[in-house]
Amino acid sequence: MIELDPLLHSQLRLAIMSILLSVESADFVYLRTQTESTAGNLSIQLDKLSEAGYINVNKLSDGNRPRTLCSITEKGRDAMAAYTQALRSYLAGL
Amino acid sequence: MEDKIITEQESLDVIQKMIDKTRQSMFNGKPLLWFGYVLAIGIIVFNLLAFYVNESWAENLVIFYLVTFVVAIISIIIFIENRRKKSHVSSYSDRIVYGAWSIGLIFMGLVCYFFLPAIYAYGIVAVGYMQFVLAGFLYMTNLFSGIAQSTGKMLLVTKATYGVTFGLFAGIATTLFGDNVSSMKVLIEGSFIFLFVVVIALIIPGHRLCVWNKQHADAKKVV
Repeated sequence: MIELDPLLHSQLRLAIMSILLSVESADFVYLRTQTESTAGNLSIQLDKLSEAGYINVNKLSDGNRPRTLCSITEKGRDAMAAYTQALRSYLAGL
Repeated sequence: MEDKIITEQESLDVIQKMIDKTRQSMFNGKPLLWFGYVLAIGIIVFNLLAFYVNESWAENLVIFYLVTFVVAIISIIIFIENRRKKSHVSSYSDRIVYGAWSIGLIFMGLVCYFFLPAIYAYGIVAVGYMQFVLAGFLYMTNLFSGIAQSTGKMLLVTKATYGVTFGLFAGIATTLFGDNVSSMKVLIEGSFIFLFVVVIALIIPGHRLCVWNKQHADAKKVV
């Protein structure tokens, strides 16, 4: 049986990846609102996903306010595909 | 939401919930409704004026189309620029929808522009033929914009209407190339087919998307 990716098998990180899977890019504010998480926690999880190469995090300056834009990478897309495949096989085996 | 380990079933629920939430902030269909109703009302009003008041009103219909297309293109440019500055999310579907409509509107504007000399030379019969061409472009733009793919129910609606449209195109083409075809008949039939495509390509999808968005917003309130 395929093993579930431990990096994705967490509620908040999985939520972030699911959102980024369906959009071109999303900023920090959007992710925080949609996942209903705290800024600190979200920031930590984004760093973890970025270090794994699953997402790209770009810090931009929009006038006076900084803006953090996130998008999923090809590696992240493959990881999500493998994760959902593993989920299906787990649930089929129940 | 927290950084906690979840079960396999909960994982699937999270994925489903997040994808649903993301879809709510996508294209809401209102621009289609505005554009659709403005065109539909214009077609009806100008045709009634041409039929009951003076045939030359039909020529003004071309100017009305040109102005409407130009205003729609400018609205799209302003909307995209505003969204780039203010929006927190950028989706693939939005890019496809607005990209397809921008290109479609440019082509439809060019059709009006290139038909202008023919309209001044041949009168209302050229307006009628021009609307057949516009109907074709609008039809193709709708197809390429991928709106049909955005919701399952919409796909069923458009599949059914596309079948009917092909039948109508074939029927009207037969009438047009028959005997004793008057200029007014070509104008009315051209307007009718364009109006029909406006309804199936703009008004029905617009309403469908608005209802779909409202249902999701209501469901969110309940949750």
